[in-house]
Amino acid sequence: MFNGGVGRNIDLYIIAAVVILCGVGVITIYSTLQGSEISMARNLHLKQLLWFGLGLFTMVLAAAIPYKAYYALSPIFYIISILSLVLLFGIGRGHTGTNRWFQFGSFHLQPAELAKVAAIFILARYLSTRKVASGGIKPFLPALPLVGLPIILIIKQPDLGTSLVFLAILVAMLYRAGMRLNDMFLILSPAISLVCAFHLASWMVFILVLILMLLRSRPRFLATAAIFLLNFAVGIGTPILWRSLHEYQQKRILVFLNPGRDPLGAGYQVIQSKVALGSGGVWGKGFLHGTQTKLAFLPAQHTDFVFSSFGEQFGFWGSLVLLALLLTLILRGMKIAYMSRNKFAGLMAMGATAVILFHVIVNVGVSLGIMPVTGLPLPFMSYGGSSLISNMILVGLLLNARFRWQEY
Amino acid sequence: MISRHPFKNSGGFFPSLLVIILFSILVIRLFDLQVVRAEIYWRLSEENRIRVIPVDAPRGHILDRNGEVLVCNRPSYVVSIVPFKLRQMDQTIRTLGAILDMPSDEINKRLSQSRYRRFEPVKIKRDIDFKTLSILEEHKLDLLGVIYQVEPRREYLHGRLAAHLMGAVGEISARELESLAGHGYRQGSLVGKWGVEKEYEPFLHGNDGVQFVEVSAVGREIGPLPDRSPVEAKPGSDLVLTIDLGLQKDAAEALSDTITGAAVVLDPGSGEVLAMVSRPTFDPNIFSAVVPESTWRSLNEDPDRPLLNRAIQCTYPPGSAMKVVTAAAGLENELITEHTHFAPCTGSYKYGNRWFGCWQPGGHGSLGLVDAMAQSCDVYFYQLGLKLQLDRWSKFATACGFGAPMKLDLPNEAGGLIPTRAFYDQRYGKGKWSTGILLNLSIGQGEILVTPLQIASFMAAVANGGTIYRPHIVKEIRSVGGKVMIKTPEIAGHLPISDSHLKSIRKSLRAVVHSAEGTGRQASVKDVEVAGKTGTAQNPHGEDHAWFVGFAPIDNPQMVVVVLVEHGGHGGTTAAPLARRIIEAYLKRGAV
Repeated sequence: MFNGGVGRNIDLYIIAAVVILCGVGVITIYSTLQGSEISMARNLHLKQLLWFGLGLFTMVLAAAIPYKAYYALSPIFYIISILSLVLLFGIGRGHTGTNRWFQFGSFHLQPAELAKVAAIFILARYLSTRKVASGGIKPFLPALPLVGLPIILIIKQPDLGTSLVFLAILVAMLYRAGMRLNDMFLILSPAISLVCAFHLASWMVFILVLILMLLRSRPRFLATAAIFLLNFAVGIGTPILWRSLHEYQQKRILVFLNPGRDPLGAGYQVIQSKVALGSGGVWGKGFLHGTQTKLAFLPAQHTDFVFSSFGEQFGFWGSLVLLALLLTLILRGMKIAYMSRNKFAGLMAMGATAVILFHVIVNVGVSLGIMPVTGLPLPFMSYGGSSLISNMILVGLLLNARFRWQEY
Repeated sequence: MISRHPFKNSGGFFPSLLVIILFSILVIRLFDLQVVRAEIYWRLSEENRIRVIPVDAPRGHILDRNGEVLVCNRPSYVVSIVPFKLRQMDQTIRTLGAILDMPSDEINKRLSQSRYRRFEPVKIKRDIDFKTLSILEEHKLDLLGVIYQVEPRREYLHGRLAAHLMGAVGEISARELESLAGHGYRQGSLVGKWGVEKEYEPFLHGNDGVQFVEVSAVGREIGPLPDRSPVEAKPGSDLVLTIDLGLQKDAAEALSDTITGAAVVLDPGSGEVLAMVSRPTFDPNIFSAVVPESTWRSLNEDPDRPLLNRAIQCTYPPGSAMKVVTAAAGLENELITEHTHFAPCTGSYKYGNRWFGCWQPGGHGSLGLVDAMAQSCDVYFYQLGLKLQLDRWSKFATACGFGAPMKLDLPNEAGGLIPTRAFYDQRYGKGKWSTGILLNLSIGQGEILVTPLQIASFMAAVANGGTIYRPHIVKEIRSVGGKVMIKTPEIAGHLPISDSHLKSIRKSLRAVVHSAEGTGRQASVKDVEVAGKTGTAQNPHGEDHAWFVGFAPIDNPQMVVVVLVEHGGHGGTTAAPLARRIIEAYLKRGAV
């Protein structure tokens, strides 16, 4: 049954990619701090190195524990993560009126990071225990509130970017569990209606597509009516609600959806990020020679905009190598999600991969100025303990599924 | 093997393809930035050539109900420093300080507040005059890095007249900036500090614009940034108030400068505030520029507290004005009718072993409700209060809208106090207070506290047949796009008083002004019947506060007026004549 022993079941590509990415991250963080006036900040790269060490440990731990234990404990994990999100509103801390983390001395803990892992476990458990692959929409529906609850709690922090990660987890895992794209489209149609509702023509086109889809998949009458009515209510109600708001209220919502609209705040960061990347050119300005980075024009350059700092110093080819490393990691993750014989393990790997993918696309997209500014860190590279540890746990889960891929 | 397990293992192709497509998009964009357009960005990154220049949005105007402008903007000059361009920093700051008459420390403090934006102008002094401007121009060569710009400055056309309503704007504080950052505010932004300016800040502020400019290595502007178009400033919305400027003037004249007190005029049919005066007052224009510390101190430490809006922020015992509530409570609880007589007033009333005096030492004799109200006989209401008992009395007063803010659309409204059993238990201990306090409460004395606005709203409800409107001061919000938000009257509740009892109350209030013995005779005006009630409130701080609260005309009430004069003595002789002047002014102007 086993071919080639234990060694062959350890994914060295993933481990190599992660270690290189983390190392490059520490180096880039070091480069961003050289212009800093605050001396305490100058050794953040050492702190990050410490987190990396701890991260390696948690990665091995997450890989070593048989996933059957995660299966068994997933409801407990889930309840704890929801409770800690609720608790945040009482004693949470964050920048300017937000509640994102617990503070223990100088140490921050972001429950949303743990909630991602918990959500993956509970979804994997639910989607693997039922005979959901038989088709139809109904068996998938209980997955919606499972993910909806943390989404709502995190939107209220408020942290839109992180809550969208959960949506990515949901979509990826539903797909992996065998839900048909048709059905997924129908389930998510009210959300698409919401977006399209601001433009009458596109909303009407969308409704037309929806009708075609309904005709094609022909759910039961009640389901059809419900989906159709929901779309109609959302599509007509949204513009009415929107118009009843005063301009300043509309503006606040728009800035919440895309902080880049505030040209003096996040919008300024996006410009500087583009200048940093673009001025790096093909070969980059060289390590520690990034002028944007050095003069600290880029706020958050060691956290959310670490990719821009790297790109300024190492240029197009450097960025390409970085993206190749991330792509390797994600494709390997995807492969594990499809090779696992155990349904729980495969779903778990799919969820973990989706989280990393979503973070990479959004973070790099923001740095390149083609995505709304969401404040999501770049996995393995951005400064921050909570995010690094949780990403290492996700990698641990991938290794875990890979190691036991032959188990049923 | 395939048949044995139900989990589909093929099909990873599609999601992997999706991932590759997503990464390709990133790479294409990366190629565009770092290869195709690298040169433009290289140029921009040298010495960082990007300037983000904010353009202040003009703040919305404030108009009275007839469209008269109360608050607008005028252009003014502001002196700023661009830190990046400073050469010989200390020398420049010293020279500038001398011209602007500002200590160097102050300038340094302002500079340090925005040390992360070295390329953006830091405002040093606002609204400088032309003389200073020309001196600056002369010293231009010594002042490298000092620039002046035009910015709109707030102008309160009627200055002290409605200062408490308008409030003022001032530079954003560090704390405000923390909660407003991300909503278009930045260091040096002007925000509403009190009054309508604060309450409606998000509407008035508008959206600041931004210019993105490329500058040369020495800081000279070259032109707009290649890949970012400017954001136009969008002016704030105009506010139309319910205030009638003419009436506000007349009310302010009635309460002359020597008075400390307040006056409120309400429309009983909607809760619109037609006029609101608080004395003493201040000039909101001084806050538009940077306020010198000394001015702040003198305004803040003035024992007369001119910054307080006495109509809503200060609470007073209502005195006999509260007898209206006590009477209505008696009627509603069926303890009395309009014709009930109590033991005659002999000038005082003995309860337990204490004597409670009537304001008329000679006594009023035996009176019915209407005469007792007209003559404000304390002994009558002592007896009624005792019949009511504390619980019923406090419950009734609370239901009439007292003891909680009226939710007027102005900040910092006080709620007043209606004492309850629990209140006394807590204050004096269970069983350690006597029911004698009820005698005081029923004539509006003791621990009870109300705001002039609460009394006015209550009287408005008595006048209009029992509807308590939520008072409001903004009628319309007009945005620049032409969108108009109209504030419709909001009903806050209903008086717990039946129509027939309200009729009796109104009859008794008419007698206050129109009967021969009425305490409010001085509020009567020619040709129109006025209803009202006087109040003379004893207080621990000195001379009694004088109250008059009333409405006119009785048959078709159009206006409610409240006048409070701190330490003014008798309501009938001090407040009632002032109220009369306001009522006359209203009637003279015809229907508002």
